[in-house]
Amino acid sequence: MVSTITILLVSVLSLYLVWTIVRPGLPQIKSLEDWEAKNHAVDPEMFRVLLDPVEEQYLRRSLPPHEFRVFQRKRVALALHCLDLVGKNAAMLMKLGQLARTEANPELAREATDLIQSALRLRVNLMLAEPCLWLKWVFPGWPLSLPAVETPYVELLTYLSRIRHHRQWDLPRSVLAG
Amino acid sequence: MNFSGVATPVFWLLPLAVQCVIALVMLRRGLARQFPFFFSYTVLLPARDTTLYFLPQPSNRYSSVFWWGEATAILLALAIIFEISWHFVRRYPFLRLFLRVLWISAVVVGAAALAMLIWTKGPAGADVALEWIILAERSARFLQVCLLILAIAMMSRLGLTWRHYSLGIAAGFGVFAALDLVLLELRAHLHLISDSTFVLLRSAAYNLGVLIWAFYFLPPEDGNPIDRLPGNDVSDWNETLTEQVDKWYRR
Repeated sequence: MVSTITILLVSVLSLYLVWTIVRPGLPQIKSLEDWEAKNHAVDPEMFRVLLDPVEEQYLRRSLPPHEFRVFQRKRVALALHCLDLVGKNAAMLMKLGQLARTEANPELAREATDLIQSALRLRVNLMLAEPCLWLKWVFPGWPLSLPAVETPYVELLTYLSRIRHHRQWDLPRSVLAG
Repeated sequence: MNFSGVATPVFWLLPLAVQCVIALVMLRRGLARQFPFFFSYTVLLPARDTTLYFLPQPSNRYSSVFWWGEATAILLALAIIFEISWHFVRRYPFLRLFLRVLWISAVVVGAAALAMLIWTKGPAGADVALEWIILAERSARFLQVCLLILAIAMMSRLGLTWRHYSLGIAAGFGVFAALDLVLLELRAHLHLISDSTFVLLRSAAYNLGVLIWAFYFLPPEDGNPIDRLPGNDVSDWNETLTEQVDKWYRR
């Protein structure tokens, strides 16, 4: 009976995971325009404030314990939402990097590879950060330090700017050639 | 003609044709070199089924071709999980840990699958040898599904949710292996379905897997080059974000 239940659970989990990756409605990124239309504006300042230990101490002192826990959970839930949006941005940038890699410009292709690598690093960091935040949601009073997720994100956006720069450089050359 | 009479040839012919087309597309796009195990699998299964069509049934030769083909297919399917994982992480050394986790999980789940086979009460049907084979197959499928869960979860968490070949291969196997595992459990362990239903549903599950591969492999590559400049303020946003993050670091 145990093996049957295990098998059924494992099979359902596998089917669910497949559904999450093949389901319709996932963001399709085929151009920079798609990125512009679909990227999420994520404010790191808000993220920082949400997890600021000084703010947390202030709230702990000012509010009764029960209210503090409720309020702290709301803040952590918002922070998790921020990470979710940053993760979606990173996934879209990875796709953009893939598209840029197909271009003939070798410099652009190299930058695109860097972009993908950077996005992957960010996703790895998110994988480390999210469980910490979930723990913080479960135990709102627990003083927990989070792994840094912001550095790769900034790198990621710098790579995107560089890709844009290459495109700007390519355009006049192609205009001249045309 | 009843449903089974119509479904059986359709379920037999459809994957045969689709897999031949997938193999040709892979050859044309140079994907056979990138995914040699999956390409071998895609060629092996239609080749085996075509050979079986011309062999007399029942016969020892038919049985040998079928079961050796099945064993090879399962081994190839396990190799494919590592192939797609390797294909995904090879460019990024910091993701090698992912492969290591996959290997360790393979050993742990393999041991669990073996234990499951040993602890299962022996075959209760008329054909003992066949039932042992099916139980062994169930253990192999269990190993495959667990590894696929890990591989798909990792790839999905790392943001690989667009139509990427590695993900398509994993998704196709994920559906087929999961449904096959349930069917093997229902047939070999619980004896809840008949042989004919088992064969038909198994074939349907395989068709579903093949259709997912077709969905990923057959459409033209969506490699639209980025052909014009964006007219937005991404740089400004980047600047603002960098400034804010720097403040965070100075704290």
